[in-house]
Parts: sequence; C-alpha cells; structure tokens
Amino acid sequence: MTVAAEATKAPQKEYGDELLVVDDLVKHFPVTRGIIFQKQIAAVKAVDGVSFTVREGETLGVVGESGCGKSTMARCIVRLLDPTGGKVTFHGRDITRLSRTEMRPIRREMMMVFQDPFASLNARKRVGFIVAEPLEVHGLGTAAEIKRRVQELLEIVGLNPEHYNRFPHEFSGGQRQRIGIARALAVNPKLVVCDEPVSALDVSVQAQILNLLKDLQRDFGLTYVFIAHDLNVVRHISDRVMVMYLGKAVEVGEKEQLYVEPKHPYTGALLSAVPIANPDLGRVRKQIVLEGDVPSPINPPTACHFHPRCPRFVKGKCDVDDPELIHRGGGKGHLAACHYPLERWPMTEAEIRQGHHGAVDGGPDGRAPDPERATADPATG
Amino acid sequence: MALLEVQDLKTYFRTDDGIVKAVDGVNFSVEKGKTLGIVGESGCGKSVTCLSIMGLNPKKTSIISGQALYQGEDLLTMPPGRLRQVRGNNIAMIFQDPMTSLNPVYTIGKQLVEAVLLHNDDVTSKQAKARAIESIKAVGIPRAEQRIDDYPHQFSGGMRQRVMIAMALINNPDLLIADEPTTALDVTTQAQILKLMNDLQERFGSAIIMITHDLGVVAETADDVVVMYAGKIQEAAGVDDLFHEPMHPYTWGLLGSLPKIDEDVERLTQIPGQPPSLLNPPVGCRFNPRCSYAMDICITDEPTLDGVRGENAHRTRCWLDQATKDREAAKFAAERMAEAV
Repeated sequence: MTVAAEATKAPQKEYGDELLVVDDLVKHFPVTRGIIFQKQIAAVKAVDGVSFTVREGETLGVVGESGCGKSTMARCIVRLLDPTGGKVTFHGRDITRLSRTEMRPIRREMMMVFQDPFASLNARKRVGFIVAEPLEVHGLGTAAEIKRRVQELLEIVGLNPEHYNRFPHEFSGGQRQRIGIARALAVNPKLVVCDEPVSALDVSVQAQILNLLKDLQRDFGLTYVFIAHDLNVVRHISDRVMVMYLGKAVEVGEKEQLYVEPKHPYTGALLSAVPIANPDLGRVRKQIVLEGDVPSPINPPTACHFHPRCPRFVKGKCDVDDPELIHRGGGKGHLAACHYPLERWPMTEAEIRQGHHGAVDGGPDGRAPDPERATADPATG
Repeated sequence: MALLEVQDLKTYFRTDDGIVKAVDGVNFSVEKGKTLGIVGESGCGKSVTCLSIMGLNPKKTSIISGQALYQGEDLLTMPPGRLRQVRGNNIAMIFQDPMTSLNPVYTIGKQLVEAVLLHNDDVTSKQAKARAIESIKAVGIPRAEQRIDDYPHQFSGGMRQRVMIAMALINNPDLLIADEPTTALDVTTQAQILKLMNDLQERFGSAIIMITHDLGVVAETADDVVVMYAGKIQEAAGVDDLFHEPMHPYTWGLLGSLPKIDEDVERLTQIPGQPPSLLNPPVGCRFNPRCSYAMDICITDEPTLDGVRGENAHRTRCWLDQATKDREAAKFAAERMAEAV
C-alpha cells in the first residue's frame, strides 16, 4: 500500500490522549471439586491475555460470539470483577489493584450500561431514585440539586421528566434502556462501557438508542467501549473495532480497515455469516460457513484458538505456534493474530473450498479423529 | 390450491385489563415447497398467528375466529384427535429457544422416537430408533449412533437447534413452522442452521413459515414476506418487491433503522415512539401515531390491505397516494442498486 493510500485510511476524527490502556488482561474463573475441601481442578479462561488502548473521544467496538469473554472483559475494566492478571490503566493510573475506597472516586469516571434493561433496574425503586443514586453515593449536590439534575438527565435521554416518580415496570424496553443510560451519565463519566446495550431491543427502538448514544457522545465528549455481537451495530457506532474469540483478541483495526479488508479468517467468517437485508446480494454472496461450535474455554485448543475451525489451518504451524497480535498488512494500526492472514476480501470461491478440504476432515462439527482436537468439543471437554 | 390458507384469522386474549387483540384479521397463504417470511417487532402477533394455526394457544383465555385451511381442512375447527394427527406429522414447528423446548429429563433419542411412534402405528420401536438416528444424521450431528443416547444438556445451543429441526422433520411434514429458529444463536451458528434448513427444504420439498424479526434472515430465506404490525398485516409481497419497492411507511422505517454492514450513515432513520398496546390499539391506521406521513384520514379510518396498482401479489395497508409511495420506494430501489455494485 502506498503512503498516500495509508494517509486516507487514517481516522478523520481527532482523538485525545490514551484514556484506557489494557495490558495483557487475564481473568480465569476456577472450576472446583469437593464440598468442604474445595480443590481447583481447572479454570475457565474467560479472558486470556487481551491488550488494547482506547483514546479519549473514540468508540471501541468489541465483537465476538457468546462465550468469547467480551462481557467478562468489560467487567474487569470497570473492576466489577478483579482481574487474575494483567494491568488496567485509566487516565495514566494503574487501577488493577486499587482497594474499594481507592476505587470509589474513579468509579465516577467510568460507568457501565448493561444489556438487560429488565434486570438491571431495581423494580422496587422509582426511576428518580435509580438515576439519583450515583449522585447520592458520590455526594454530589443537595437533595434539590440532585432532583433538578435527575430531571435534566431524563430530558437528555428523551424521557419525560415528569416520569420521575414512576417505577421501571411502567416503561417499555427502549425507555428502560434510556433510564440505564441516564443513570450512567449522572456523574459525568469520561468512559462509558456499554455491554450489549441494544441486543434486547427491537430494530426500530434499537435505532433510537444508537442515535441517542451517538448524540450523547458528541454533546458530552464521551468515550465508549461498546460491546455487541451484532456486527452491523458495531460498525455503525464504532471508530475502531476489536474482534474476540475464546478470550483473545484476534483482530483490531479502524472499522473501515476491519470491515473492508479483514485479515483474520475468523473476522472473515463472521462478516460473511451476517444475513444481508437485500435479496440480490444474499443470493450471490459467498459464505464461509464455519463448521462446529466454539470450543470450551476450560480447555481451549492449543496455540491459535481458532485453528480447529479455520479454513486456512496449516498443520504443524497453527496448532503449535501461537500467533501474536501484530500488523499483518493493510492499514496502519490494523493488527491481526494469524499466521496466514487473508490476502483479499471477499475470499474467492476456490479459497473457501480449498479451506474446507484442508481443515475440516473430521465431520461436520469440526471434530477431527485425533484426540487433541476432540477436546475442543464442549460436550466432552 | 395453496397448502395452507389463512383467512381472517383473529386471536383475542381475555385478560384482567380487557381484551388483547393480538392478531386481528390476518390473511395469507403458503404454497407447497415455498418459504413465507413473517416479520415484525415483538408483540406484533407473528408468533401468536402460528400458535393459533397449530392450536397451541391456551384454550381458556383465547378467542379464535377465522379459518386456517390446511389442504382444504380447517385446522381451527378440527376435532382434537384429528388435529393431533396433523400436528407433528403434516405440520411441524420449531421453537425459538432450543434450551427450553427440549425435555431435559429424556434423552434426545427417546424424544425423537416418541415423535415417530406417535404418528406411525406400523413402526416397531427398533425401526423408529433407526429413523431417529437417520434424522439426526441428516441435520449434521456427528456420531449419531452414540449421541442419540445423550441428554439435551450435553449439546450446545446450535446442536440443540439441530435436534429440534430433526424432531420437526422426522415425519417428513409438508409444512414447517419455524418461530425465530436462529434468534438465540450466534451469527456463525445461525448461518449453519439457515443453510441446513435450506438444504432440507430442497431435499424434502417442505413449505416453511419463517417467523423472524431479522430482515436479513427474511431476505436470505423467504420467497414471500408478510410484514406485521400491531396484530395486522401492513404489507405482503414477494421478497424482491418488498426490498426493492417497499410500499408501507412501517416497512420503510424498518429498512431504514437497520444499520448496514456495507455502508456508513451518520444517523439511522428511526421510527419514533414505541409499539402500541394491543389492549387499546390506536384508532384508524394502527401505525399512525409513529408514522411521519400520517394524514387526517389515517387517524379516523383504518385502511384496507389492497393490491398495489391493482396487483394482488403486492398488498399494502396505507392511505398514502401511489405517487408518494412510488417516490419513497424508488429510494430503496436505488439503495439496493448501490449495494449491488
């Protein structure tokens, strides 16, 4: 790629300094046996060494299938879970090992919006109380000031401020998600971690919430880490995108790079699996249908976690040598963890077919005859 | 004759707050070997429509009227004994959630064999087991002979959905009703399941009713599409017509609010407001409170589902004049063309 072409690939938006730096984040959940003398017999490697940076004012989208560790990662960033290893630096300060009291002032700066608007609001509290709670916890203002601020917040997220005294059950799913967003914004955070904020919503309401999140970012200079499994949604909202698979980041890049020119075969498979709302395109589209299921994170495949399902799998390399997340062609800042990155996108018919013969010799679920790969099956693993 | 012909189907539920008109006069037909997509948001009555056809709504609280003719026989007035024969044998259903629709305390083999024995008097249990094994092989579950003795919890989500499909197809039904079969699944698994359903349809020639909220899934699987909103059909068309020439403001809104994977827009077109309560649906056109084209007549009188330019293949329920509709539809045609390049 020429220098000029690379320059056009650079983001148009100007970003500030690094706000959040995550370095080799690891979260393992112990699997124990025994009732009194609990013995750890294994670990669920939910997040297994993820590193990335988020700059002020940008949106980092995180995509991946269920069980890839994206939600666990989000919870580790805001310290709702304690990471097993690695380092989370927020505003230049290492927050990985801070105590609860030390964390408290920092929590004002990083808030979270949860997936399920039905479960994440206390059904016994009035909306006014729910939105006011972060303000009270942090002691921001008198009762009258807090009330005024809450009404202002409700208005910002497009709710009627007079609904201050209603209970969550009186609102629809989209409105509840707006309440969740108002609560997150109450203390003027810098970073908002959104964990699948629109997956529970209908398309027409989903569009409302996505537009609202974009407006709020523009008006308040927010930084988002936006987690979703829907690639279309992530493309719409993000500036940069990270793709996760089995606890690892397999590809990171500006969204244009990643969606137009994916390098990792898994990203390619994800992109090609999304149904397109255009019958003409759907019919001619060449789909990489991945065989089998995501393996268990208790006993992930050796080296590259994706190798048992990968259409570009090369024996003796991918199952032995763990690929690093480095620049593998394409634009600046576009990283992929793959020994044999895609050369072109979309892949040619021949490449897809060749892949299927090369990699999947063990039946339709990707289960190979050799025992090493058999452990990848969640039912037996 | 169409395989299934639904005429003026109405399903009302009695609740403490009044009568919920979940489905309010729905007409459609399904041809042999074709796929009909029913799209709409939650609460629009798409699932209830199919549950009514299958006679699976709670008897005590539901009031059902209209006709659902399966090869000329009305499913709604059929005696329970005959309905049991048809259900699971001629018409089968796949439910949304494969985690909860399989019985956790029986092996999948037992559940599959039950479906065979129930509908075939002349089959021995040995033959039934052989058929069960064959059917789960057909849906791509490896080591079928061993896996048949496994319990549902030993399968992953995608595999469980395959078991559901195997169970639905085991008696070679003419009509398969799939209620959001891939909503609970990840995209890569969804692609597998949709491909599988497509292959099986080609092999066995079953007709499919595909209920979904995902316009992408509809575009890829359906031959004809019905768009439902608040218990009524708002637009019905062939899949190409619907995506190239949508004629109803609600369909425009749905298509516009979809973030697209291959293009960038700063803001999505949003449909303002929320879907209405069916206890008390809006007077006139049910979409009028959220419609940016609403006119005076929309608030007072309800439009009928009429053919576009007199053609019955594409019907829409809207008062707008044809010129405006054409102008809006042209935007979508242009969009599709742009995507194709």
